[in-house]
Amino acid sequence: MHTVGSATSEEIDIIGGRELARLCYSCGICVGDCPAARFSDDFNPRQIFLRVCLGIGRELVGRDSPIWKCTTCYTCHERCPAGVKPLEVIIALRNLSFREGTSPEGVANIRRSVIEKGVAGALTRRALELREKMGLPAAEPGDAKELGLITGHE
Amino acid sequence: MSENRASAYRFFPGCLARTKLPHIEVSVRRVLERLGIGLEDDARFTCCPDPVVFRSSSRSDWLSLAARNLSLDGEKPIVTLCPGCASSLSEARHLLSEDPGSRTDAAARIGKLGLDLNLPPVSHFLEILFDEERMKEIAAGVKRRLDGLRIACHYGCHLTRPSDAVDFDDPEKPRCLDELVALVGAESITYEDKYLCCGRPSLDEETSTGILERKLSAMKEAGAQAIVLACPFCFEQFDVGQTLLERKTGRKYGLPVFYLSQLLCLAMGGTASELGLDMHKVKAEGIEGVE
Repeated sequence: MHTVGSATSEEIDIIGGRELARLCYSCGICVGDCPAARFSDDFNPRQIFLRVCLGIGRELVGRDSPIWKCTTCYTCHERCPAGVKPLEVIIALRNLSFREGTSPEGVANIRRSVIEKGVAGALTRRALELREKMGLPAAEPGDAKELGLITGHE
Repeated sequence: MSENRASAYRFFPGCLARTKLPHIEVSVRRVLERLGIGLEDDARFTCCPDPVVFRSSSRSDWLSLAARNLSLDGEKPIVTLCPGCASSLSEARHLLSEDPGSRTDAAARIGKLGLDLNLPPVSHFLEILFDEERMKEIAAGVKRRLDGLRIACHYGCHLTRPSDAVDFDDPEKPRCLDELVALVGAESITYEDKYLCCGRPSLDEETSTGILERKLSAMKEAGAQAIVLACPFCFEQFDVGQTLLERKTGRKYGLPVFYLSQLLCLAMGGTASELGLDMHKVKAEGIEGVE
């Protein structure tokens, strides 16, 4: 059985990554206008999908993995002739990385903020005062606790 | 007056406007109000959730939180000021209607809150403005033309992509911003890498800054005087990010950034102070009609 990190190939199938990557025939169109590939040395979407396909992607879910360089611009999604949905593969890998505790710190912080407070980022007193001054409705989401209930983090 | 025009939208402000950029929200509301478009607020809306960072933690949690936002109040259409929110909610909507497995899971989760799954239409406010009739109305409301102002339009990514879920304008070569800025007399210039991402969503600092530097240099080389966009994340990248980049490299770009709605409000008679332009890091000093 192939593994990517601690996940079995079935687990990756569940989030869609491996099943989608399997369609890839390495044409490389995803690399052409990829901003992250152009502006960094080690982000190459074609290589990422090939590794996932071959089940040799263990390093892709480790710390400081290039998967976090993707800007989620969807150019590859628009152009892929094989229907791979490349971004879904990246997201599947990122989900695994998060579960294994190797994702960048910001991911857990934003997640906690959204689930606990309903917003990404801090609703500071200054922000609330400014809204009031500018005649905008209050910004605090009413029932953020519901989010814990549906994500199983109550 | 068409039927479409009278119908109310539910306004989805998103997190960056809520927490940091209230002045952008003010300008979007004003433009829509001027066009007679009724907006309803709903305090129950939470983060969409964001299609970049939150979704990277768990795709199924992202989908169920989006399903909750979509399902709060029947089929009434939702309008956002942020392409990230519009794209995230549209993609969730697409998945929930196309993929039975995703739908069953999300429906069960929001069922715990007593909600039934609803899939109302979601659009970014530019989709409402980029319409022949509405553009005529905007043009008729212009009191102060910004003739000859050389603008670099920046589209970003999520405004038109993924096109199978978003379905607005051309996914790779959109033109809505170019046409809307022309209504106030401004000139949308051609520049290299016009359709390149702003870089902000990359979680790698070097990649993000490298892209920003390229965009700003290309705009400057083409003689831009200001940047116009319609995404709060791109706004932060070009406004705050530009200031940080200038400090770091010693290079000066001096390109003020306007949300498309701010530019329209200015042209329709709004003043810089009521639009909160003093909150921008890069000041618009020296641009005629913006004082």
